[in-house]
Amino acid sequence: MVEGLSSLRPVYAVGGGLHPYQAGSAASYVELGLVAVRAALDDAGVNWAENEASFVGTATLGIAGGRAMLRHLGASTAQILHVENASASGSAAFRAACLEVASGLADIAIAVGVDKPNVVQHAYLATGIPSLVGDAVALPTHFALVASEYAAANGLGPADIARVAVKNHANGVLNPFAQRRKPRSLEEVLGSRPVSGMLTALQCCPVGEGAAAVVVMSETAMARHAAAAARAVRVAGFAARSETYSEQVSFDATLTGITVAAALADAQVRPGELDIVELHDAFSVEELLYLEAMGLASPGRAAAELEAGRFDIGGECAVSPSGGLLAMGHPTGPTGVGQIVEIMRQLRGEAGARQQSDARVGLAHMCGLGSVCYAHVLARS
Amino acid sequence: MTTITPTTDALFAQDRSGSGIVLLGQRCACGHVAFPRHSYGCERCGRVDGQEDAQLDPLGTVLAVATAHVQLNAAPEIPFTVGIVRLSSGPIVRAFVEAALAPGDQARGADGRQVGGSQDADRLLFQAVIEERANG
Repeated sequence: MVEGLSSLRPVYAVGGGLHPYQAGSAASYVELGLVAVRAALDDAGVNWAENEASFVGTATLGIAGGRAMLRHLGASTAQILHVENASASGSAAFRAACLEVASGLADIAIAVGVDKPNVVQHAYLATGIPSLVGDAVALPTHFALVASEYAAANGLGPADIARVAVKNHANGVLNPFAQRRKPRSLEEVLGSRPVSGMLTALQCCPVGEGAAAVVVMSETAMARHAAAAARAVRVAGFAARSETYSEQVSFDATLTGITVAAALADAQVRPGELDIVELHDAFSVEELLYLEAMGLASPGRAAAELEAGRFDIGGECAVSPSGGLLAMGHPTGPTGVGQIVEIMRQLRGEAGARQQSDARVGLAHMCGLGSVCYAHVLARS
Repeated sequence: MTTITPTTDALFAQDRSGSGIVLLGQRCACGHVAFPRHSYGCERCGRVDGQEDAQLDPLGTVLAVATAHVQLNAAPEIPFTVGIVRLSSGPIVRAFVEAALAPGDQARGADGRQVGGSQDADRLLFQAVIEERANG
């Protein structure tokens, strides 16, 4: 079996666009999505008519939203695929766009993530298998349990975990597309509303609305798009995995380790070579677990290394320079695509005040309920 | 022989001969122990047939504890405390636990009607096991 992207045609991310992530508003998803798509097309210097396939990552809109949005870009018969994979919907849409180009079925494709803060049905709670706790364990409580185990195992306290949020809120201040743009002290993070266990409100991501889009291209298309080629970022590797039966509390961390290792192997990149990581920090503790699972920190050491500044912008590896899910926000469908946009900007040297100097290689990582996991490695070409 | 009286939700049952509770799980022919019972197929090997009922002692090690101030639905009333317990028989379960429990503690599930008053009716509650030894 062919394992990775590296065995297929080279794929490049050539245009990225965002609609700011924000609290739910009166704006329709169409308005949000079109802002991001037009920005991505402009960034790539590509006309809509040239796009051969659209992959729309959405988890909350309901069925058939894509064409009703994309028709306003002009007449096109290009395929549209809607992709739902919980929090990783956008990441899955980006993977599908890459595969379309890598396989040779298209030379230009676009991944779009768009969502509104709608209430959705949770199929995973409707299996018919009962539980001792019913549906009492909401997502923040699951991650509060993860934090409890992790803190106890490593002799850590609430402040060690809360510092993740302090860092990511500080990064969000520098990102005009972030939903949360206020610097937060450790005391403010710890003193914010208690949510579950040691997790407080400022350690839980805001779920609002927004949109993100990325145009991907083959070398064939780049030959006629010199401007896009000049700023292209190579999609050097990827991987997608799902959770197996598990007798672990933090199964997402195990799944992350497997998935990221596969993506890094595909790209022939070692963890220490990563300059940028955008990861699934929906809850503060996740960042620590995933940094260890990815091999960026030794087991139990991520909190100390984060406190020492190793994962700051300007540190050894900038982690969640966009502000991550904690500060940029987690509008669901857009999130995984927005991570790619941030990494593209970083690798092109276009990230402004958030710029990690001389960034060459970046990793995007998302988990989705279920659990599913995605990793993409991007490299300056 | 133990006589089992299933509770309404059939997740656990009371042993008529004593005050003990057993969790109603199943053991697959592949050796995988699952809780609760279901007929969909083994998560490890995929077998649909070959599941035999297994009464699991609700005794285990607490792996994690969290007191929740948020919930999906009206019940249970917040705040409430949940935990993850690794049963001595293998599976890990999410359960309501005493708020004083901490990771590493030994805990045993008991019928909430006996240990927690009316609001815990029909609910299993894991409590600290201070010392557990055979009589005699």
